[in-house]
Amino acid sequence: MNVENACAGGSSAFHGAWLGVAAGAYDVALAVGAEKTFVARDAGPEEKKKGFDSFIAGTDVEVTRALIAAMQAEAERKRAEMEERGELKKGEGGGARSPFMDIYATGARAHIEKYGSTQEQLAIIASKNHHHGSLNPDAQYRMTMSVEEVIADRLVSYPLTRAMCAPMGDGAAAAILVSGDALARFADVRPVKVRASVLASGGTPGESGRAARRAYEQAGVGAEDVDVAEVHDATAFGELALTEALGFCGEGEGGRYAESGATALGGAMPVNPSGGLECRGHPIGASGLAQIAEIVYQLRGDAGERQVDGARIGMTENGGGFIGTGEAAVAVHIFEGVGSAG
Amino acid sequence: MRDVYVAAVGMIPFGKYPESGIKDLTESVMQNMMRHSPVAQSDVEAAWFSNAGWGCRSASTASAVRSRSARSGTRRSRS
Repeated sequence: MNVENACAGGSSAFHGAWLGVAAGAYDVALAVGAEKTFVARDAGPEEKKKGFDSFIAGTDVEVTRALIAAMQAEAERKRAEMEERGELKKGEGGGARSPFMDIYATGARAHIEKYGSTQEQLAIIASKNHHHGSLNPDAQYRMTMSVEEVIADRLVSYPLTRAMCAPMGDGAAAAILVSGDALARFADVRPVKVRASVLASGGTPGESGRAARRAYEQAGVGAEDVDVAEVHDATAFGELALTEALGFCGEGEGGRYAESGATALGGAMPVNPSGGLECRGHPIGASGLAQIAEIVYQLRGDAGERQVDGARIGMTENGGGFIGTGEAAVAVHIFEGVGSAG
Repeated sequence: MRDVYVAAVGMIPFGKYPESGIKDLTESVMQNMMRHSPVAQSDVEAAWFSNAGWGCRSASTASAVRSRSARSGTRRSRS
């Protein structure tokens, strides 16, 4: 079955396979995602435009162009103000970019305004994810970046710099799901149990929080039981907002939560040990399955230098597309490492 | 609903693969996963494949960079 669900495609494929096995239609099902988003600089602007048009397809296409134009105008106004005050060099920032970056930047500016979050807190998240990515042999970016280096990187759309945004890239990821009834057929299985699989249609802000609450209910666990999570950090602001939405910290506290070190490896609630979309990479249709692969490695104790000690409950959140400023699709999964069958 | 377990996962290192198409990447990830999978590919009864339409341009992109690309795969810096 072909699945197209914007950036949530990989975990939507996993959800479909889960549904088929959970319902009893299949005992063994495969979910696989592959994508190529890298466009060579010399491939011509029309190649890049075709790609960005794929982004637009992940939105409410009847209203998106006007909405994005308004957001880009607002970002340009902010950029021009900063240039006027001498905080940016003339012409710095404001180049061609994914329209999604302006949506995230709009959300980040609103969060800064409402809760007093800072650009430095976003940089702390990006710097942390670069450190995590440096420990992951499958990550697209494996160099570390300090908080200062992240802030000094090229401005994309204020307050987001390039190092806070997921890169263009290619990749593939996969998973095989098996029913509990059929597990005994296979030797040497090190199964990880799917405790919750939720796919929600969005369109209103807060959909990821509602999907997470449904997943916690399905799994019979709470946010405090989660040992490790992979979340959809297409930008550092995505991660900030999701630590709030999944209930790891309170509303408005995401920036300070990251600053406390809680979300780093060794912290109370490690988030994106793989490096996240920012550093592991974000080949659209493969990303959700890469998140799931990372959580399975963590729950089996196979994550090497980036292993979260004693991880038993893991969680993934994968958002896809936008309707307005809310995700169009959200997939949340909760897993439990069980050591052996049963 | 029945209990469901993940029996195998896999990925290829994410990065830049200008010489490879979508089908090549899919084959690679299946090979990576099946090397450690307790379940054989012939046991799979149904499959879900995710793609958002970006890779449709892979051939033109590949031809544009083939002449200059000395390296397919992962780049290690943001330059």
